[in-house]
Amino acid sequence: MSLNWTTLDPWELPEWMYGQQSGSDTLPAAYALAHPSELVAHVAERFPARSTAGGFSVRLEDDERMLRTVLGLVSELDGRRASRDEPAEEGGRFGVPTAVTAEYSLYVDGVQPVGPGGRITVYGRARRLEAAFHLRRTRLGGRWRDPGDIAREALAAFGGELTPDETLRAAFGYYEASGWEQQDLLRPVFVVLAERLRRDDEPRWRLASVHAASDVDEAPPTAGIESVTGCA
Amino acid sequence: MAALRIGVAWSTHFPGGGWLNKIRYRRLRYSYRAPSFVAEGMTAGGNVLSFLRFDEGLTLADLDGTTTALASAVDFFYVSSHGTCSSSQYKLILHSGEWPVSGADLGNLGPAVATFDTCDLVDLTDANWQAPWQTAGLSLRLLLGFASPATVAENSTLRGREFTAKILAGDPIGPAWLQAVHQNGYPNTDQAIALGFGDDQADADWALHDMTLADLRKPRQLDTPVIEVAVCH
Repeated sequence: MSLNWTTLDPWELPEWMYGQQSGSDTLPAAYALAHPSELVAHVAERFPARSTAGGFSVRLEDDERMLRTVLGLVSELDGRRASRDEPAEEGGRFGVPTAVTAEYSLYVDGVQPVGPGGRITVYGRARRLEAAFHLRRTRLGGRWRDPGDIAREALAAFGGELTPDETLRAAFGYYEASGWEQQDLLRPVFVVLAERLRRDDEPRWRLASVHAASDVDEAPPTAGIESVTGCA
Repeated sequence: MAALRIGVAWSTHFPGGGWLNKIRYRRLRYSYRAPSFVAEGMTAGGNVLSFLRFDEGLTLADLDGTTTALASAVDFFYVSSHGTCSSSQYKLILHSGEWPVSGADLGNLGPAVATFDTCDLVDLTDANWQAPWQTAGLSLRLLLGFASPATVAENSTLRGREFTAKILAGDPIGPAWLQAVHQNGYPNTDQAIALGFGDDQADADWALHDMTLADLRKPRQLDTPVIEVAVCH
Protein backbone atom coordinates (compact mmCIF):
# COMPACT_ATOMS: atom_id res chain seq x y z
CA MET A 1 0.00 0.00 0.00
CA SER A 2 1.42 3.40 -0.90
CA LEU A 3 1.51 6.31 1.50
CA ASN A 4 -1.66 8.38 1.65
CA TRP A 5 -1.27 11.95 2.84
CA THR A 6 -4.16 13.45 4.83
CA THR A 7 -5.25 16.96 3.84
CA LEU A 8 -6.08 19.09 6.86
CA ASP A 9 -7.01 22.60 7.88
CA PRO A 10 -4.41 23.96 10.29
CA TRP A 11 -6.89 23.94 13.20
CA GLU A 12 -7.52 20.21 12.60
CA LEU A 13 -3.87 19.26 13.00
CA PRO A 14 -3.73 18.66 16.81
CA GLU A 15 -6.90 16.56 16.79
CA TRP A 16 -5.69 14.54 13.79
CA MET A 17 -2.34 13.95 15.52
CA TYR A 18 -4.11 12.85 18.68
CA GLY A 19 -6.22 10.47 16.59
CA GLN A 20 -3.09 8.91 15.09
CA GLN A 21 -1.59 8.44 18.54
CA SER A 22 -4.72 7.05 20.19
CA GLY A 23 -5.37 4.78 17.20
CA SER A 24 -2.11 2.95 17.81
CA ASP A 25 -2.44 -0.10 20.05
CA THR A 26 0.94 0.64 21.59
CA LEU A 27 3.50 3.39 21.33
CA PRO A 28 5.75 2.53 18.36
CA ALA A 29 9.24 1.95 19.70
CA ALA A 30 12.26 3.95 18.64
CA TYR A 31 15.40 2.09 17.60
CA ALA A 32 19.08 2.87 17.78
CA LEU A 33 20.50 2.08 14.35
CA ALA A 34 23.62 0.12 13.47
CA HIS A 35 26.58 1.74 11.79
CA PRO A 36 26.20 1.57 7.97
CA SER A 37 29.33 -0.57 7.72
CA GLU A 38 27.33 -3.51 9.15
CA LEU A 39 24.87 -3.44 6.27
CA VAL A 40 27.71 -2.96 3.79
CA ALA A 41 29.44 -6.08 5.14
CA HIS A 42 26.29 -8.20 4.91
CA VAL A 43 25.60 -7.06 1.35
CA ALA A 44 29.20 -7.57 0.24
CA GLU A 45 28.98 -11.23 1.32
CA ARG A 46 26.02 -11.81 -1.01
CA PHE A 47 26.34 -9.73 -4.19
CA PRO A 48 28.27 -6.80 -5.70
CA ALA A 49 26.71 -3.44 -4.82
CA ARG A 50 27.50 0.24 -4.58
CA SER A 51 27.14 1.20 -0.92
CA THR A 52 25.98 4.54 0.44
CA ALA A 53 25.56 5.96 3.95
CA GLY A 54 22.17 4.34 4.43
CA GLY A 55 21.67 1.79 1.71
CA PHE A 56 23.02 0.30 -1.47
CA SER A 57 22.52 0.25 -5.21
CA VAL A 58 22.62 -2.87 -7.36
CA ARG A 59 23.03 -3.31 -11.11
CA LEU A 60 20.22 -5.61 -12.22
CA GLU A 61 20.74 -8.57 -14.52
CA ASP A 62 17.74 -10.61 -13.42
CA ASP A 63 15.15 -8.26 -11.89
CA GLU A 64 12.94 -10.82 -10.16
CA ARG A 65 15.75 -12.89 -8.72
CA MET A 66 17.63 -9.88 -7.33
CA LEU A 67 14.44 -8.34 -5.95
CA ARG A 68 13.68 -11.59 -4.11
CA THR A 69 17.26 -11.67 -2.80
CA VAL A 70 17.11 -8.09 -1.49
CA LEU A 71 13.65 -8.49 0.06
CA GLY A 72 14.91 -11.68 1.71
CA LEU A 73 17.92 -9.78 3.03
CA VAL A 74 15.70 -7.06 4.52
CA SER A 75 13.56 -9.68 6.25
CA GLU A 76 16.51 -11.76 7.45
CA LEU A 77 18.64 -8.89 8.76
CA ASP A 78 15.97 -6.54 10.06
CA GLY A 79 12.70 -8.47 10.29
CA ARG A 80 10.81 -6.01 8.16
CA ARG A 81 7.63 -6.60 6.21
CA ALA A 82 7.80 -5.30 2.65
CA SER A 83 4.63 -4.03 1.02
CA ARG A 84 4.42 -3.32 -2.70
CA ASP A 85 3.34 0.28 -3.41
CA GLU A 86 0.95 1.56 -5.98
CA PRO A 87 2.24 4.94 -7.16
CA ALA A 88 -0.28 7.71 -6.55
CA GLU A 89 1.11 10.36 -8.91
CA GLU A 90 2.15 8.16 -11.78
CA GLY A 91 3.24 9.85 -15.00
CA GLY A 92 1.57 7.02 -16.84
CA ARG A 93 -1.76 8.80 -16.67
CA PHE A 94 -0.27 11.46 -18.98
CA GLY A 95 1.15 8.84 -21.31
CA VAL A 96 4.69 9.42 -20.05
CA PRO A 97 6.84 6.38 -19.25
CA THR A 98 7.90 6.03 -15.62
CA ALA A 99 11.41 5.15 -14.46
CA VAL A 100 10.17 3.33 -11.34
CA THR A 101 8.78 -0.07 -12.26
CA ALA A 102 8.33 -1.50 -8.76
CA GLU A 103 8.58 -0.14 -5.25
CA TYR A 104 8.27 -1.65 -1.78
CA SER A 105 7.77 0.14 1.54
CA LEU A 106 9.56 -1.47 4.47
CA TYR A 107 7.26 -1.45 7.51
CA VAL A 108 8.64 -1.41 11.05
CA ASP A 109 6.42 -3.15 13.62
CA GLY A 110 3.50 -2.64 11.24
CA VAL A 111 4.09 1.11 10.92
CA GLN A 112 4.70 2.68 7.49
CA PRO A 113 7.81 4.63 6.46
CA VAL A 114 7.10 8.32 5.74
CA GLY A 115 10.55 9.64 4.88
CA PRO A 116 12.67 9.25 1.76
CA GLY A 117 14.08 5.94 3.04
CA GLY A 118 12.60 2.64 4.14
CA ARG A 119 12.09 1.66 0.50
CA ILE A 120 13.28 -0.78 -2.14
CA THR A 121 12.90 0.70 -5.62
CA VAL A 122 13.38 -0.97 -8.99
CA TYR A 123 14.22 1.16 -12.03
CA GLY A 124 13.51 -1.34 -14.80
CA ARG A 125 14.80 0.43 -17.91
CA ALA A 126 17.93 1.62 -16.06
CA ARG A 127 18.53 -1.94 -14.77
CA ARG A 128 19.07 -0.69 -11.23
CA LEU A 129 17.69 -1.49 -7.76
CA GLU A 130 18.03 1.06 -4.97
CA ALA A 131 17.67 0.01 -1.33
CA ALA A 132 17.40 2.65 1.41
CA PHE A 133 17.14 1.18 4.88
CA HIS A 134 19.11 1.02 8.10
CA LEU A 135 19.63 -1.96 10.39
CA ARG A 136 17.98 -1.64 13.79
CA ARG A 137 19.74 -2.50 17.02
CA THR A 138 18.52 -1.43 20.49
CA ARG A 139 14.81 -0.93 21.13
CA LEU A 140 14.18 2.27 23.10
CA GLY A 141 11.18 3.14 25.22
CA GLY A 142 9.40 6.46 25.44
CA ARG A 143 6.08 8.24 25.65
CA TRP A 144 3.80 10.14 23.29
CA ARG A 145 4.38 13.85 22.97
CA ASP A 146 1.49 16.25 23.47
CA PRO A 147 -0.21 16.63 20.05
CA GLY A 148 -0.93 20.31 20.73
CA ASP A 149 2.77 20.98 21.18
CA ILE A 150 3.63 19.05 18.02
CA ALA A 151 1.02 20.87 15.96
CA ARG A 152 2.21 24.27 17.19
CA GLU A 153 5.77 23.28 16.34
CA ALA A 154 4.74 22.16 12.86
CA LEU A 155 2.78 25.30 12.05
CA ALA A 156 5.55 27.50 13.42
CA ALA A 157 7.92 25.81 10.99
CA PHE A 158 5.88 27.28 8.15
CA GLY A 159 5.73 30.79 9.56
CA GLY A 160 2.70 30.33 11.78
CA GLU A 161 -0.10 30.62 9.24
CA LEU A 162 -1.22 29.55 5.80
CA THR A 163 -3.23 31.55 3.27
CA PRO A 164 -6.54 30.10 1.99
CA ASP A 165 -4.97 28.77 -1.23
CA GLU A 166 -2.21 26.93 0.63
CA THR A 167 -2.66 23.29 1.60
CA LEU A 168 -1.54 21.35 4.65
CA ARG A 169 -0.98 17.59 4.34
CA ALA A 170 0.37 15.23 6.95
CA ALA A 171 1.35 11.61 7.52
CA PHE A 172 2.34 9.52 10.52
CA GLY A 173 4.98 6.82 10.52
CA TYR A 174 8.69 6.12 10.88
CA TYR A 175 11.11 8.65 9.46
CA GLU A 176 13.90 6.88 7.64
CA ALA A 177 16.48 8.99 5.82
CA SER A 178 17.52 8.42 2.22
CA GLY A 179 20.41 6.17 1.32
CA TRP A 180 22.61 9.26 1.23
CA GLU A 181 22.26 10.14 4.90
CA GLN A 182 23.70 8.43 7.93
CA GLN A 183 21.05 8.05 10.62
CA ASP A 184 21.51 6.82 14.17
CA LEU A 185 17.93 6.70 15.48
CA LEU A 186 14.70 5.51 13.89
CA ARG A 187 11.66 7.07 15.53
CA PRO A 188 7.93 7.66 14.93
CA VAL A 189 7.20 11.10 13.50
CA PHE A 190 4.65 13.33 11.92
CA VAL A 191 5.66 14.66 8.49
CA VAL A 192 3.82 17.83 7.55
CA LEU A 193 3.79 19.37 4.07
CA ALA A 194 2.78 22.98 3.38
CA GLU A 195 2.03 23.40 -0.30
CA ARG A 196 0.58 25.69 -2.87
CA LEU A 197 -0.81 23.24 -5.42
CA ARG A 198 -3.30 25.28 -7.44
CA ARG A 199 -2.40 25.68 -11.13
CA ASP A 200 -2.72 29.34 -12.12
CA ASP A 201 -0.34 32.23 -12.80
CA GLU A 202 1.04 32.07 -9.27
CA PRO A 203 3.97 29.78 -8.40
CA ARG A 204 3.42 26.39 -6.80
CA TRP A 205 5.73 25.17 -4.05
CA ARG A 206 6.17 22.54 -1.36
CA LEU A 207 7.80 22.84 2.06
CA ALA A 208 8.27 19.91 4.44
CA SER A 209 8.80 19.61 8.17
CA VAL A 210 9.26 16.56 10.39
CA HIS A 211 8.39 16.37 14.09
CA ALA A 212 8.98 13.67 16.69
CA ALA A 213 5.73 11.97 17.72
CA SER A 214 7.20 10.66 20.95
CA ASP A 215 9.86 11.46 23.49
CA VAL A 216 12.51 8.78 23.49
CA ASP A 217 14.41 7.78 26.62
CA GLU A 218 17.99 9.02 26.59
CA ALA A 219 17.65 10.82 23.25
CA PRO A 220 17.09 14.49 22.41
CA PRO A 221 13.85 15.40 20.58
CA THR A 222 15.67 15.95 17.29
CA ALA A 223 17.71 12.73 17.36
CA GLY A 224 17.31 10.85 14.11
CA ILE A 225 15.65 13.78 12.37
CA GLU A 226 18.37 16.40 12.72
CA SER A 227 18.35 17.29 9.04
CA VAL A 228 14.61 17.69 8.72
CA THR A 229 13.31 19.53 11.77
CA GLY A 230 12.34 23.13 11.36
CA CYS A 231 11.18 25.01 8.32
CA ALA A 232 12.28 23.74 4.96
CA MET B 1 37.44 12.68 -20.98
CA ALA B 2 37.99 16.40 -21.63
CA ALA B 3 37.04 18.69 -18.76
CA LEU B 4 33.48 19.95 -18.99
CA ARG B 5 32.43 23.54 -18.33
CA ILE B 6 30.02 23.66 -15.40
CA GLY B 7 27.70 26.51 -14.41
CA VAL B 8 25.58 26.56 -11.25
CA ALA B 9 23.20 29.14 -9.83
CA TRP B 10 20.46 29.58 -7.23
CA SER B 11 18.11 32.06 -5.63
CA THR B 12 17.14 31.89 -1.98
CA HIS B 13 14.98 35.00 -1.54
CA PHE B 14 12.91 37.17 -3.79
CA PRO B 15 12.60 40.82 -2.82
CA GLY B 16 12.38 42.10 -6.41
CA GLY B 17 8.95 43.32 -7.47
CA GLY B 18 8.05 44.69 -4.07
CA TRP B 19 6.04 43.36 -1.16
CA LEU B 20 3.75 41.24 -3.33
CA ASN B 21 6.58 39.01 -4.49
CA LYS B 22 7.68 38.48 -0.90
CA ILE B 23 4.28 36.89 -0.33
CA ARG B 24 4.09 35.07 -3.68
CA TYR B 25 7.54 33.54 -3.46
CA ARG B 26 8.37 31.78 -0.22
CA ARG B 27 11.99 32.02 0.82
CA LEU B 28 13.98 28.93 -0.23
CA ARG B 29 16.63 28.76 2.44
CA TYR B 30 18.06 25.44 1.19
CA SER B 31 18.09 26.12 -2.55
CA TYR B 32 21.86 26.61 -2.38
CA ARG B 33 22.44 22.97 -1.43
CA ALA B 34 21.80 20.97 -4.61
CA PRO B 35 23.78 23.31 -6.92
CA SER B 36 26.59 23.39 -4.36
CA PHE B 37 26.76 19.58 -4.30
CA VAL B 38 26.90 19.64 -8.10
CA ALA B 39 29.65 22.28 -8.19
CA GLU B 40 31.73 20.53 -5.55
CA GLY B 41 31.36 17.08 -7.08
CA MET B 42 31.87 18.07 -10.67
CA THR B 43 34.98 20.14 -9.99
CA ALA B 44 36.43 17.40 -7.79
CA GLY B 45 35.82 15.15 -10.79
CA GLY B 46 38.19 17.29 -12.88
CA ASN B 47 35.70 19.62 -14.54
CA VAL B 48 35.87 23.42 -14.68
CA LEU B 49 33.47 25.68 -12.78
CA SER B 50 32.76 28.46 -15.29
CA PHE B 51 30.35 30.35 -13.08
CA LEU B 52 28.63 30.19 -9.71
CA ARG B 53 25.99 32.89 -9.34
CA PHE B 54 23.32 33.41 -6.72
CA ASP B 55 20.70 35.83 -5.43
CA GLU B 56 21.47 39.42 -6.44
CA GLY B 57 24.45 38.13 -8.45
CA LEU B 58 22.11 36.24 -10.81
CA THR B 59 20.12 38.67 -12.96
CA LEU B 60 17.85 38.35 -15.95
CA ALA B 61 20.41 40.20 -18.08
CA ASP B 62 22.98 37.50 -17.21
CA LEU B 63 20.70 34.80 -18.56
CA ASP B 64 18.59 36.17 -21.42
CA GLY B 65 21.46 37.51 -23.53
CA THR B 66 21.04 41.20 -22.68
CA THR B 67 24.58 41.31 -21.27
CA THR B 68 25.44 37.61 -21.51
CA ALA B 69 23.79 34.21 -21.79
CA LEU B 70 25.46 32.31 -18.99
CA ALA B 71 23.83 28.95 -19.69
CA SER B 72 25.04 28.99 -23.29
CA ALA B 73 28.65 29.27 -22.18
CA VAL B 74 28.76 25.93 -20.38
CA ASP B 75 28.26 22.23 -21.12
CA PHE B 76 26.36 21.49 -17.92
CA PHE B 77 23.99 24.01 -16.32
CA TYR B 78 22.23 23.53 -12.96
CA VAL B 79 19.98 26.12 -11.33
CA SER B 80 17.72 25.98 -8.27
CA SER B 81 14.98 28.46 -7.44
CA HIS B 82 11.22 28.93 -7.79
CA GLY B 83 9.73 28.11 -11.17
CA THR B 84 6.26 28.37 -12.69
CA CYS B 85 4.60 27.01 -15.79
CA SER B 86 1.44 28.54 -17.20
CA SER B 87 0.03 28.22 -20.74
CA SER B 88 3.10 26.16 -21.72
CA GLN B 89 5.46 28.96 -20.64
CA TYR B 90 8.04 28.06 -18.02
CA LYS B 91 9.54 30.91 -15.99
CA LEU B 92 12.58 30.74 -13.73
CA ILE B 93 12.05 33.10 -10.81
CA LEU B 94 15.12 35.14 -9.89
CA HIS B 95 16.01 37.25 -6.86
CA SER B 96 14.83 40.20 -8.97
CA GLY B 97 12.88 39.34 -12.08
CA GLU B 98 11.69 36.33 -14.02
CA TRP B 99 13.33 34.52 -16.94
CA PRO B 100 10.79 33.12 -19.43
CA VAL B 101 12.75 30.12 -20.70
CA SER B 102 12.11 28.25 -23.92
CA GLY B 103 14.17 25.96 -26.09
CA ALA B 104 15.47 28.94 -28.06
CA ASP B 105 17.33 30.10 -24.94
CA LEU B 106 19.23 26.84 -24.60
CA GLY B 107 21.63 24.86 -26.74
CA ASN B 108 22.81 27.38 -29.31
CA LEU B 109 26.39 27.00 -28.11
CA GLY B 110 25.57 25.18 -24.90
CA PRO B 111 24.55 23.66 -22.61
CA ALA B 112 24.22 19.98 -23.48
CA VAL B 113 22.49 19.32 -20.16
CA ALA B 114 20.27 21.89 -18.41
CA THR B 115 18.76 21.15 -15.02
CA PHE B 116 16.04 23.39 -13.62
CA ASP B 117 15.75 22.30 -10.00
CA THR B 118 12.49 24.20 -9.51
CA CYS B 119 8.79 23.50 -9.45
CA ASP B 120 6.97 22.88 -12.71
CA LEU B 121 9.40 22.87 -15.61
CA VAL B 122 6.46 21.49 -17.55
CA ASP B 123 2.74 21.06 -16.95
CA LEU B 124 1.78 17.59 -18.18
CA THR B 125 -1.92 18.50 -18.04
CA ASP B 126 -1.27 20.93 -20.92
CA ALA B 127 -1.57 19.12 -24.26
CA ASN B 128 1.02 21.49 -25.80
CA TRP B 129 3.60 21.20 -23.07
CA GLN B 130 6.39 20.13 -25.46
CA ALA B 131 5.92 23.06 -27.87
CA PRO B 132 8.26 25.61 -26.19
CA TRP B 133 11.11 23.11 -26.20
CA GLN B 134 10.89 22.30 -29.93
CA THR B 135 13.08 25.34 -30.62
CA ALA B 136 16.03 24.04 -28.58
CA GLY B 137 19.46 24.69 -30.08
CA LEU B 138 21.56 21.86 -31.47
CA SER B 139 23.75 21.46 -28.39
CA LEU B 140 20.90 20.71 -25.97
CA ARG B 141 20.51 16.95 -25.50
CA LEU B 142 18.94 16.70 -22.06
CA LEU B 143 16.56 18.92 -20.11
CA LEU B 144 15.90 17.95 -16.49
CA GLY B 145 13.45 19.27 -13.93
CA PHE B 146 10.12 18.60 -12.27
CA ALA B 147 6.57 18.05 -13.51
CA SER B 148 5.26 18.92 -10.04
CA PRO B 149 6.16 21.10 -7.10
CA ALA B 150 9.74 20.42 -5.99
CA THR B 151 10.46 20.10 -2.29
CA VAL B 152 13.34 22.30 -1.20
CA ALA B 153 14.40 20.93 2.17
CA GLU B 154 17.67 19.98 3.78
CA ASN B 155 17.12 16.28 3.09
CA SER B 156 15.47 16.44 -0.35
CA THR B 157 18.25 18.64 -1.74
CA LEU B 158 20.59 15.67 -1.30
CA ARG B 159 19.35 14.91 -4.81
CA GLY B 160 22.22 17.16 -5.98
CA ARG B 161 24.75 14.93 -4.24
CA GLU B 162 23.29 11.64 -5.48
CA PHE B 163 22.86 12.96 -9.03
CA THR B 164 26.48 14.10 -9.20
CA ALA B 165 27.91 10.97 -7.62
CA LYS B 166 26.04 8.77 -10.08
CA ILE B 167 26.97 10.62 -13.25
CA LEU B 168 30.60 10.87 -12.16
CA ALA B 169 30.53 7.10 -11.65
CA GLY B 170 29.54 6.79 -15.32
CA ASP B 171 25.80 6.28 -14.92
CA PRO B 172 23.58 7.72 -17.68
CA ILE B 173 22.56 11.29 -16.81
CA GLY B 174 18.79 11.18 -17.39
CA PRO B 175 18.12 8.10 -15.24
CA ALA B 176 20.50 9.45 -12.57
CA TRP B 177 18.34 12.59 -12.25
CA LEU B 178 15.07 10.64 -12.03
CA GLN B 179 16.57 8.32 -9.41
CA ALA B 180 18.20 11.09 -7.37
CA VAL B 181 14.94 13.03 -7.03
CA HIS B 182 12.87 9.94 -6.26
CA GLN B 183 15.31 8.49 -3.74
CA ASN B 184 15.55 11.72 -1.74
CA GLY B 185 11.90 12.78 -1.87
CA TYR B 186 8.91 12.04 0.34
CA PRO B 187 6.65 9.25 -0.95
CA ASN B 188 4.20 10.25 -3.69
CA THR B 189 5.36 13.85 -3.89
CA ASP B 190 8.12 15.22 -6.16
CA GLN B 191 7.87 14.06 -9.76
CA ALA B 192 11.14 14.42 -11.64
CA ILE B 193 11.05 14.68 -15.42
CA ALA B 194 13.73 14.22 -18.09
CA LEU B 195 13.51 15.23 -21.75
CA GLY B 196 15.96 13.80 -24.28
CA PHE B 197 16.55 15.69 -27.55
CA GLY B 198 17.61 13.91 -30.74
CA ASP B 199 17.53 13.93 -34.52
CA ASP B 200 15.18 10.97 -34.55
CA GLN B 201 13.40 8.84 -32.00
CA ALA B 202 16.31 6.48 -31.46
CA ASP B 203 18.72 9.39 -30.96
CA ALA B 204 16.36 11.12 -28.51
CA ASP B 205 15.88 7.83 -26.66
CA TRP B 206 19.67 7.47 -26.42
CA ALA B 207 19.99 11.03 -25.05
CA LEU B 208 17.29 10.36 -22.47
CA HIS B 209 18.35 6.92 -21.27
CA ASP B 210 21.97 6.28 -22.18
CA MET B 211 23.97 9.50 -22.52
CA THR B 212 26.78 9.84 -19.99
CA LEU B 213 29.14 12.69 -19.17
CA ALA B 214 31.62 11.22 -21.67
CA ASP B 215 29.08 11.84 -24.48
CA LEU B 216 28.23 15.44 -23.75
CA ARG B 217 29.76 17.10 -26.79
CA LYS B 218 27.70 15.34 -29.43
CA PRO B 219 25.30 17.99 -30.81
CA ARG B 220 22.29 17.18 -32.93
CA GLN B 221 22.37 17.76 -36.69
CA LEU B 222 18.77 18.77 -37.40
CA ASP B 223 17.08 22.01 -36.32
CA THR B 224 13.83 20.53 -35.09
CA PRO B 225 14.37 17.93 -32.38
CA VAL B 226 12.51 14.78 -31.60
CA ILE B 227 11.81 14.73 -27.85
CA GLU B 228 11.60 11.61 -25.70
CA VAL B 229 10.44 11.96 -22.10
CA ALA B 230 10.30 10.03 -18.84
CA VAL B 231 9.21 10.79 -15.28
CA CYS B 232 10.33 9.10 -12.09
CA HIS B 233 6.92 7.74 -11.06
